[in-house]
Parts: sequence; structure tokens; C-alpha cells
Amino acid sequence: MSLRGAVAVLVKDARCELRSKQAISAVLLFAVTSTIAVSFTLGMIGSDAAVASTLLWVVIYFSAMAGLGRSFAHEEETYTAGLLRLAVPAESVYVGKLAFNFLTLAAVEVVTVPLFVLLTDCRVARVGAFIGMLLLGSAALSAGATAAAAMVSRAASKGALFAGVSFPLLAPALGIAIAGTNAALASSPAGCAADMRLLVYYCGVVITASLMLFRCIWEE
Amino acid sequence: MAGVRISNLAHEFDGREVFRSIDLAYDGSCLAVTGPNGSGKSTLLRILAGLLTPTSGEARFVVDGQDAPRERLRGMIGLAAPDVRLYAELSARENLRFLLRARGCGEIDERASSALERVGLCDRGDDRVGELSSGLRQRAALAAAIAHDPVILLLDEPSSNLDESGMRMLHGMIESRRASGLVIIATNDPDEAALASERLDLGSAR
Repeated sequence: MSLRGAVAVLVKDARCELRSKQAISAVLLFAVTSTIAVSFTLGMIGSDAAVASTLLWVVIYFSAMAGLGRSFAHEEETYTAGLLRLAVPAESVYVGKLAFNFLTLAAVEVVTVPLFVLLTDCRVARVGAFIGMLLLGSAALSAGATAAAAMVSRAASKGALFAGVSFPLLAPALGIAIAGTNAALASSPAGCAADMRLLVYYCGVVITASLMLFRCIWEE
Repeated sequence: MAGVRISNLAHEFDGREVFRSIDLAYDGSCLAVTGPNGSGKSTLLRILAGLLTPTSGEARFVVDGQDAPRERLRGMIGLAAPDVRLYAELSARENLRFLLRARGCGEIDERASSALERVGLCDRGDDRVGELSSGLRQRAALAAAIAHDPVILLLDEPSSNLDESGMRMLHGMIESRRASGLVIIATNDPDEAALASERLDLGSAR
């Protein structure tokens, strides 16, 4: 794998995104509208930590589904995938796209999470652990979603297939992130640390497996 | 110098045969792949570039008397084809810089400027590719194919959308590239095919 190639892909994707704003606008719009909708519901049922953490991750998960699946499909639709295959080693493409997807999700969370906390009047007992869970959970979602997006990029009905392929892959990470965020909101340091470790293991396994398999997915 | 070896190559799309039993050993400097529409010229170039796995048979390059391993081909091959496009959101220069950086080349700015100059795109090199005319986009695609000085240059219908000065530039580029490596052109243009020292007619390989 070439780190230089991965950085080149990340910079290229960021530059293209800053000019077209396709992924970020789709994800941000979905995230903000669903956060506002969720805040109405929470306003009625009260901001219990378990409910708030579940709804927060549901918003983040579906936001990821709305935007991250496009990372490879767009390359195929605009006939630039061949250029990428010719110039960049497969593993570097995966790492570059993963980094871009993670940054996209993180940028969306910078807007939506404070909005969520504000609108739902949710109390964050351990801010550091809460931010740590958000970062690790986003890394886990990005790792799985990037691999799933590559798998479905050449299929006819990418949207439905992406949701179908990625859910079994992302469900464990989503469950752990919800439990860890609940622990961070309710001030349970032990539970939060255990969930963070689990997310680190999840990222390690998914990223390693993706790096080993990505060449077959991307080049064949 | 570079050559190409093709043995018993066949390809099908969804059970429909594109071509079969192509055999070729070529060690010259410029090969033309000709044949009617649908005869598999573009498919053959995609297989040679490593973008497509053939249904059966083998296609490989020989560089300086040795088989070129697939993982090294990335830096050795330049491809300009209608279905391999540049990023419309980036300028031609940014596209070249990205490709050169991804390939691990040095002197990125100098190489990008030189490639743009060779295709006559200096003035419009900083315009976004999506805003260029089809002829200028074709020039940008040719610049992307030669920017890293590949030993093997694969050109699929390279004169599409080019005006007269573009055609002259293209012919000059093919002449200069064939002096240092192998050029394979898929074309139906008799003038382009005449530049080659040998012709592979896919119309007879079906």
C-alpha cells in the first residue's frame, strides 16, 4: 500500500467535494432535518440517556447511509473509476476513501451533535468519553460503509443494495456505539471504556479484512 | 523496449462473445488495433491495461526482455480512452497533479506543466475539466496518459473530437512516444492506423 497514494485520494476527494458539495449537502440536510424531527419526539417522551443515545446514533447511521455509499458509485457513474484503478493501488484507494468518509461524517457531527444536545436538552455527564465514542463510532461506521460502498458500486440498484449489504456489517458497531454513548451520557466510566475497546477491535478487524479483500472487490 | 504477448485471448460479456482466439507477439513500436464497431478494440485495450480480466487466455507486456508484473504496470502504462475520464470538478492541471502524486512520481509541477504544454493546453490547464469543450477534454485526457512518461501508451480512438491542430499534435505525440516505448492505438481512422508498423484486425478474430 502507498500512503502517498492514499493521501492523494483523500485530497482529491476533499477538493472535488468542496466544489460539488454532493455528499456533504445530502448528509447534512438529512442529519439536520432528522435531528429536528427526533428532538420533537424526545421533547414529548423526555430525554432519557438510553433513548437519547439510540436516537443520536440512528440519526448518524442513516446520515452515513445517505452519503457514504456514494464514494465509489460516483466514480463509476462519472467514468473516473478506471483512472483511479490505473493510477492508485487498491489498498490506497480504500484508505483514502475511508479517511474521506470519516472526515465527512465528523464534519456532519460537528453541526448535528451540538444541535441534538441543544434541542433535546440532553445532559452529557462525561464530555471527553462522549466525544471519544462519537469519533470511534464514526470510524467504525466509515470503515464498514466504505467496504460496502465498494462492493455495490457496480450494481444496478446501488442504494437499496448498499443499505442491505452494510447493515449486517455495521449493526455490531452501531450497537456498541449506542451502549457506549449511553454510558457516557449517564456517567458510567467502566461501561464506556469497555465499549471504546470493543469499537477499536471492530475497526481493527474491519479495516484489516477490507485491506486484505479490497483488491478483489475493486479490481475484478 | 517493450512488446506485447497475447495468447489464445477470448472475452465474453454476459455470454455474448466479443472476440476469441487472439494470438499475437509484437515487439515493434506502434501497433494498430482495427476492426468494425463492436469487434472488441476497446475491450482489448482495457484487458491490456489491466482494467478487465479476460474470459480466457492471457495478455502480458514484455519490457526490456522481461515480463512486466501486473503490480508494476501501474507506472508503466498510460491510457486514454473514452470510458476513462478525468475528474470534472478539478482542473486539468489538478487532475495531472493527483495522478502523478498517486503514482509516486517526483517533480510533479514540472511534469504536469510539460504534459499540458505537449498537448497544447497551457492556456486552459487551470480551467475545470467539466468546463472544457470535448476537444480540449480529449487533449487533457492525452496529457494525463503521458504525464508520467509511460513505457506503454494505450490510445483508444485518440483523435475523437480533435481539430486539425489537435490531430497534428496527436500524430507528433505518437511519433515521439514510439521512439521510447510501445504505442497501441485502437482506431478506425486509416491515417492513425498508417502510423503503426503492424495491424491487428479484430474483424477477422471473431
